[in-house]
Amino acid sequence: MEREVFLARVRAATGGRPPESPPHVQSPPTHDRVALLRDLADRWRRPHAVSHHVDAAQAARTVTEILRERNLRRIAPSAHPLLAALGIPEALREMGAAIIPLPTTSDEVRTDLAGADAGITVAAYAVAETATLVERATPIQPRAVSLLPPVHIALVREEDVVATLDDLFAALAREPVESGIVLISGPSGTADIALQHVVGVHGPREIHLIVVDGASG
Amino acid sequence: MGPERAHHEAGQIDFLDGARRALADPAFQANLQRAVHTFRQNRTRALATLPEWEAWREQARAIKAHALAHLDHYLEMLDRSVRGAGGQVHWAADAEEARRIILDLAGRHGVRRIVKSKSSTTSEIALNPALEEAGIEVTETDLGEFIMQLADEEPVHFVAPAIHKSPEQVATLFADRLTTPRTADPQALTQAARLHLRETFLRAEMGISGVNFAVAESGTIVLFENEGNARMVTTLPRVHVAVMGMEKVVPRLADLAVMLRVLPLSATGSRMAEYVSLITGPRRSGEADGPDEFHLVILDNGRSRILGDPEVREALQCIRCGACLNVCPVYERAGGHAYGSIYSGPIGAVLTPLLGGASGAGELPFASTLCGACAEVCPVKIDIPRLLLVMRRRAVEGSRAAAWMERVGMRIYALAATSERRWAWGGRALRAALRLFVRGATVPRLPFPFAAWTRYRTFPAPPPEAFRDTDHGA
Repeated sequence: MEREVFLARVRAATGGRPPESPPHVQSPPTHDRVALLRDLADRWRRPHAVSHHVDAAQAARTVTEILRERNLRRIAPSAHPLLAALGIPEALREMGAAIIPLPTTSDEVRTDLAGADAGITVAAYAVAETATLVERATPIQPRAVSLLPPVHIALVREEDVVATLDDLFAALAREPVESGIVLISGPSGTADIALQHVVGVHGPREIHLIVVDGASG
Repeated sequence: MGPERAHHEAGQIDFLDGARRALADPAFQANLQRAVHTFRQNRTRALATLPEWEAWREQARAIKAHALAHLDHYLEMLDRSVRGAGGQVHWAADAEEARRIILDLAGRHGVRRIVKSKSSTTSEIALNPALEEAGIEVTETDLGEFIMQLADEEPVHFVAPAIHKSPEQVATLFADRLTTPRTADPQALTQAARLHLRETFLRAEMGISGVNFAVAESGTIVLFENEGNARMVTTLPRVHVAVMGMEKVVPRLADLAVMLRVLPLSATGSRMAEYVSLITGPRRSGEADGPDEFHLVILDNGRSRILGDPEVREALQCIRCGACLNVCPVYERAGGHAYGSIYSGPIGAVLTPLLGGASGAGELPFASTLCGACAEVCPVKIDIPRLLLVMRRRAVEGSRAAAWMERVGMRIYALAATSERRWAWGGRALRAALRLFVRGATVPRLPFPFAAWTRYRTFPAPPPEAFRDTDHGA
């Protein structure tokens, strides 16, 4: 159907009055920064969703400890500059991990990332209200890094932790919107069979959020 | 149990027959009731810690009502933004046109395999049968939908499609259809589905999703899920087609905050869905994944008629959370199949007849006790009981026979009630007539037109004389 014909029917139904401004949206009250970070950490204290709060100097060690404890060898870090700034690629090489190079085509995504044991990304934001991390698809951080491997480790700078969903969307609306943004609040899960909760359906079964203090870049 | 996957539009809805079949299946009753009770409890428990809940509902309602009041404006804006982000927009007046648009896209790309994430709208337009008829392999990838597809059944609940199945029933299905070792452990069953579907995801040329919200200002479509299958569907295949009813528009990104709060809490009692994807056009230059093409199909299919009908417009505010299903005493027993449409429960009893199509849908508004629980839980404050009454009134007005019977019945009653002599005589006559049908102390069955009443109830045997004729009544 022609767009104009479709819209004409809708216009006939609404009367076609131009809108006043949309309803005002109110934010819930927020706590101070310390309480905020505590809220975030509290919600990531589940068996398959764990948070860590560390200084920049300890970030790389936190990552390698997670990998070592679980004996994860094939690692897919994104090419986000913060990972390099925190010395993570170096630490991975030192622990003898097989680093999967960043895929540049969808074929490489399918073949290489599908075989990774863990993906490492940098979250653009984390939201304390709902304990949500926010990832943007970019050439240096493909979507599948946080999707195909069974374990996902996400780092977020402390200053990128926002209080509420309203703060998040206000921030997103200020910047150009990427093609793919995903809000992640836990491991891939389902309760579709008899309401029994099972993790690791299609995405990661385990997810770690590392909040990093004093990270630049 | 449950009907085979059918072509909805051509479907015939027989609520009573469907409800009777559901009631006769003890396993179905036990599984469904356990599920809705759990959803209800989880929701109540979560809301107890959120004093802001009522304020959020009001915000969510105001946003949806505003978007609907200016839907032409926001659809135009959405069209501009999606195209600005490199996506393509298609306008479908009805189900047939929507199917043709998607079949054309599949044909143009030589698509042989499609993966789908959960979408009620594609069920509304009976998309899968049309794709399969064209020789395309279609795989539902939400675990509940996947189970329903293997069972060749319609979802029983639009949030939890296979919730009426026991693990043993799923085990049998998987053992028969998937060549996996037989197990009734949900963990192992989920793993079997993961392995099977992972291969399918990697091979599919097209992904089809629904849309929970579409943001006019940015051209972003929003998908809520927990499994990650919608992320797969919108990340791996070359072409992504999103299908939305035109009422899913919200004006701004900022409006999503409250929607993210009310939808998961209402659906399952979770504070947040594990994944909320915001998709704005196809992959950009330099990105390794995401689709090469993004298509948005915007569907009318009766919605502009509802929009132009002020008495029922608010039905379009629905965000398909399923909360009204979980609290409905009728849904809890009858199950979703009886409603003959993907839109079941209280809101389905309004939406299905409003959207038109299936014959028998006019009966659905009567499948309610009007207890009002649905209106209390609705996160966008739709007054469902009022809508049910409007639909009932219209059904009666639309049926000459029903209107005639009611008029004649009321005339006869008025005649009797306006004369003491006629009232006493009428009572005696009715008691005498009733006695013909007494069995023991009750009247188990009456002839037409009262048979409909006694089919589910027994009438007490009449007393020998009326109360007013006794000493007490004198």
